[in-house]
Amino acid sequence: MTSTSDGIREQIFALLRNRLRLRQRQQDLTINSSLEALGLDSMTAIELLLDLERTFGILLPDVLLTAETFRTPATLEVAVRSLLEAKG
Amino acid sequence: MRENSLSQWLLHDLLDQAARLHGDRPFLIGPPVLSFRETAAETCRLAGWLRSIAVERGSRIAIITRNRAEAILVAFAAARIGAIFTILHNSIKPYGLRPILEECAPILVVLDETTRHLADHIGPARLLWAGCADPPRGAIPWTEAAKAVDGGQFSGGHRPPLQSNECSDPVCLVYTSGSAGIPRGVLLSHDNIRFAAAAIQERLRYRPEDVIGLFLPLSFDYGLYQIFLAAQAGAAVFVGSPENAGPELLMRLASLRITILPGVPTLFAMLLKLLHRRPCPLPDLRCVTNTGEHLPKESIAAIHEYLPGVEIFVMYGLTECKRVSILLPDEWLTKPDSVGRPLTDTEVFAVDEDGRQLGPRTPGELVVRGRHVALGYWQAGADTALRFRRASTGVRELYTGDLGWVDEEGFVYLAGRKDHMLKHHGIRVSPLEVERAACSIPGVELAAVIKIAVTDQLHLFVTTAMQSLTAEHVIAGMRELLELHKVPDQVHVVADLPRNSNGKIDRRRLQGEPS
Repeated sequence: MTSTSDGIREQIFALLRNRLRLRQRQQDLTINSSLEALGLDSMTAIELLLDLERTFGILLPDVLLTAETFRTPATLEVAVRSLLEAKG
Repeated sequence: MRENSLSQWLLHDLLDQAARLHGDRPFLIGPPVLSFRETAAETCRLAGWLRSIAVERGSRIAIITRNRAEAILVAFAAARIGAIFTILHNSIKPYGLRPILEECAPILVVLDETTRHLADHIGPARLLWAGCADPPRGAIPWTEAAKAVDGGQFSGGHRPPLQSNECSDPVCLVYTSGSAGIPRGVLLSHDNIRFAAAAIQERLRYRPEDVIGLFLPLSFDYGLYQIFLAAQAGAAVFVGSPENAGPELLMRLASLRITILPGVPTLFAMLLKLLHRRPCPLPDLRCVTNTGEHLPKESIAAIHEYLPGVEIFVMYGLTECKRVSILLPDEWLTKPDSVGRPLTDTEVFAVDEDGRQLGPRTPGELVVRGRHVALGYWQAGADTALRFRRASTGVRELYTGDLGWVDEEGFVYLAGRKDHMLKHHGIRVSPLEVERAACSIPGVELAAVIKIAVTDQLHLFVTTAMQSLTAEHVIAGMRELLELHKVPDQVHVVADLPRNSNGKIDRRRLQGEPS
């Protein structure tokens, strides 16, 4: 896993591991992993949405509440970063 | 136009009647959007094609796709020529599919992108490709089936010259978990479905201006019935999928102007989480219906709080007769613990161990009578004899396996299961089936599954002599074998399973273990 200086990616990975009940440091979760294949169903996606908003102090607007946003850790990271930047 | 209403009691007559009454109004909202008239015409063409590939009265057709219009078109087309359709969950694995296909021996299997990997597992059946991407080798592309014209066009009034069936014919097989751990196909006749649909409509009163939000799988009978209820009322259905019920749920409900939301408690739990996050008025939504499992009083109160004015119908049913009872919204105020009164022209009562009818408020096994009671299980005589019995008067009776009682006014109350069947996400799951799948994973010796009611989670406990076996291995293995709703949420690898004095696994003690 590449680390990022601000730790955003690491926090997203930690939230995902917790929700998807994956073990720490296992190589099964990469930045482009399909979250659906790892067991992300509708309910888990909603829980994850709430986790992300709480952790980063953001509110995902309706246009981002799509399957595309929740496709991979990378797509989630893009969404989170865009909202953090907008927040300033 | 036919005069005799008795001759219009086949499943597809619902569609043809809607095509006459509501013609160009939208019926199936996809993409694509199909009107009643278009759906009727498409299904006539498809019926002709089915006949051209030797599908006959009584032949089986298995549909294994995501929720999509094509699945519904094939189902109605099958009904037109007297064939029997079954819709299987698209997360079914070859392990679970094999025994079903062996048992029901379909002549045709319908797959799409979500089930492409099953193409090598359908045996001698022909393969119809309902997907958009390139079809697998040997598959018949949808365009070829849809362009056939020799089946007789829908003429807007007369039944096409395909008729070979009558209303006591079987038309649909709904696979559900059997108590022996083997999936059982519940065989429904045209009359079973038409009777149930009419009786449900009498309570729920869907209207032509309604838009039903379908987020339940079509393989689940209440999902499938939304199509029939919509056709019957002239309403439109948004053909969504469970995947659309995630973070985008509120947006979908608002933008599609959904008026009716049929669900199971899991769906309402998601709706409430999203409403709690950001309240949203949903002015079009007027009615929600719950089935599958008990909807907690707190959830009902929360729905009332966030969505004032929305009517909530609590219902009880099982695939073997579709719907047993419905509680009207105003009845909930005085009978909040009831699942409602039996459908009109049906009867529900509790019996003791010897099948003797019990009086009011005396708990026993619930027995159902009525025209909605299914024909039986497909090719499972012993199981059929156990559940579908005949009273000494000759009346057919369904032994539900559910424990409960009926009060003086006829309201039904539930008190658990006679067997060990579980509900997960509102869908019946046999613990035996889950445990058998777990034991087929290399290294697993013993397995026991329980459900934690408050979280709606399945917890699987396994023992092993293999040091390297981890919970992650077992979960991954289970995902390879079972449909999503049967896969445990958590796996615990334990040294031993608790036993009772008879040496049987003590599930009650397991209930206290996780947390």
